[in-house]
Amino acid sequence: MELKKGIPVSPGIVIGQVFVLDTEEIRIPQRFIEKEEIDPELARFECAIVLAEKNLAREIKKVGKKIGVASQILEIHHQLLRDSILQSEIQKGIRENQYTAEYAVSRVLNRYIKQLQSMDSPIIAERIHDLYDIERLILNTLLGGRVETLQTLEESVVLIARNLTPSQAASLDPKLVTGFATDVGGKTSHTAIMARALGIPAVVALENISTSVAGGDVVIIDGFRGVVILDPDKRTLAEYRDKVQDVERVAIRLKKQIGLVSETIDGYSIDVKANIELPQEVHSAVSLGAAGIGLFRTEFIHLDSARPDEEFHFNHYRAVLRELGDQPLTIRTLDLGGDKSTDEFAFNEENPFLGCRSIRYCFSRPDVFRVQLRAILRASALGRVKLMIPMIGAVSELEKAQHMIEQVCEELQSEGIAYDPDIEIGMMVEVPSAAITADMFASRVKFFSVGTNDLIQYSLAVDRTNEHVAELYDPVHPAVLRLLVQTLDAAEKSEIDVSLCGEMGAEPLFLPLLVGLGFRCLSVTPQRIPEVKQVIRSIQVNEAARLADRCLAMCDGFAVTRELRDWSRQNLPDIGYVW
Amino acid sequence: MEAKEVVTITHVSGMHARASTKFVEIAQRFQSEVMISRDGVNEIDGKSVLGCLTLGVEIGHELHIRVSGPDCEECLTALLDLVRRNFDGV
Repeated sequence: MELKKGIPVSPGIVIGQVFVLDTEEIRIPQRFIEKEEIDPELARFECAIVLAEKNLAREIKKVGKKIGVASQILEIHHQLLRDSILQSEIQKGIRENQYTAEYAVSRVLNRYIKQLQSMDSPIIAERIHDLYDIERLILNTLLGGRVETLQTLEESVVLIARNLTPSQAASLDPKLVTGFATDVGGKTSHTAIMARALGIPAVVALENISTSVAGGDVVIIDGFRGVVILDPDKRTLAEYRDKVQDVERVAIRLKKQIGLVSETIDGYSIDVKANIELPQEVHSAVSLGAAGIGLFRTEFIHLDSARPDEEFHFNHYRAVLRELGDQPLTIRTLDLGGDKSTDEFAFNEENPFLGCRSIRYCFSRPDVFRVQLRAILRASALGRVKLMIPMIGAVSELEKAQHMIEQVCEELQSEGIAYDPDIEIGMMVEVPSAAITADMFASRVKFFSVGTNDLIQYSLAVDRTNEHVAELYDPVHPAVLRLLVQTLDAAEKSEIDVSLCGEMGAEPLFLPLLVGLGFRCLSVTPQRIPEVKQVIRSIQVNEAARLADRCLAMCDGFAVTRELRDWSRQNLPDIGYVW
Repeated sequence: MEAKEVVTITHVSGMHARASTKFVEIAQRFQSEVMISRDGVNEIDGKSVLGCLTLGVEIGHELHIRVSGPDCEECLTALLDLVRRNFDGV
């Protein structure tokens, strides 16, 4: 048994037989041909390209409906397949060196892959997978299905690869491919985002997993913890079988919550909305019972396109609104920086979390910000759109952003373009200074959304991804609780809406406390909605308020956690902590 | 018939894959031959995405575009427009 640690990018657990997808070393049966075979070989190559084009066109059509971002990538592949340089060099290899078509394709592509690799440009390096994709595509066609492919799978497998290319990830059949693990990749890579959209557990950055396993091996992929267990022993296997059953049992039970109203025992209604980053997620969010989108992250739009224009933004927002119908949509303006950066936005900062991130970046690039504001305002004419500004720490910043929004509104007005003049503008409360002076902000916005992830790490000066201090990251530290209370009080006095969109809001343990403190609206990851609802339906508000009072009087976060655990055991006995 | 011009790349990420694809798509609409380079000497086929990528054109670089053929003027104009529109933000 061997345990490998990587980065969890899509939750879930799966035990399955391995299918190793090898893009780099498809075995080439023959390398050279006789002189007389040159012409037929050239014709064979041409046929393969034509066939590969057809397959790709079909894939584009199929994927286009499912995942819009992937079809764009496949368009690039389509162009590469007919690339003039590529074609002439491959033909030259066949004609002059008497290479087989397979060998010529492999040689030429690998030479270009090496050349691009040596260019030291991260943006270009990302495209190297596209070349591997092309190689795979042509070789598969040439070898005429003698290569085992994802399309020929008959039983369900877990997929292991050095790197899953975007088109491979998009063509996965979630019924047959039940999980995947790769050597490279990161949280924000296309592949990771698609895995989440498809709901397949995935772990990436495992370094050498693809060479450590062979087809048919049994592995466990744990997309919660970010580990892959090779050749698990009996005990581990039994343990994980139980976990899978737990997950399934909970999922079945939670499904029953979907149709139920989100209401406490004593009839207080609590809004549960969804946090999403892709238009494709709206459908599952709604079917899981979301009362709208409480946080639409727009970073993906920038990760997906180096410099998205107004139409690109607008199309994304329109796609979400179409799926959403008359439910509300809160769009957060660009929140790049900190842990979310692209090659484009990579600043060299000693301390990125305290650096030029989020709204600060937008202020430094009014051109980029304006494009997004225009698109959001235009989208506001199509549905119930709210605009949310992140990382506000001073009233002057808020006013600056509001001023820019007003300017954009005037622009649209003078151009005769429709927008909602009463669009609600609100802010994230995630910088401690904003929470401390929440009363000063409350009179200036229509809503607050508390971003607990940043609020906690900034208040406690703890990076929870740093294993040496992670245990100091305490969502129920008395200081955090006081900041929440101040924010809620300020919102109540000014009669504005307040919601919570951090991960804390999806934790069953913390929910009674949050409701007790006064939160009536939460926004969480779509998959967590049924569970959150179930907990809400087990809470009585007056009792939760007393619980919150007891917690606020405690000077130690661990004591608060113990109190919450006791309360949960008594009041929520049927909630399993499988997460 | 030949037309040429040097243009400075203002697109933040230079000619990456999607930008190159756009460029090639437009070049292919014309009969003329399109050759591009960064120095005016080491030219590559401007109708090849792979060629565009290997040039490694980044923001601030100069791109030499040389078009020869019957519709060279229109072709050059279309390509320059695309570069100046920052490849339509792709």
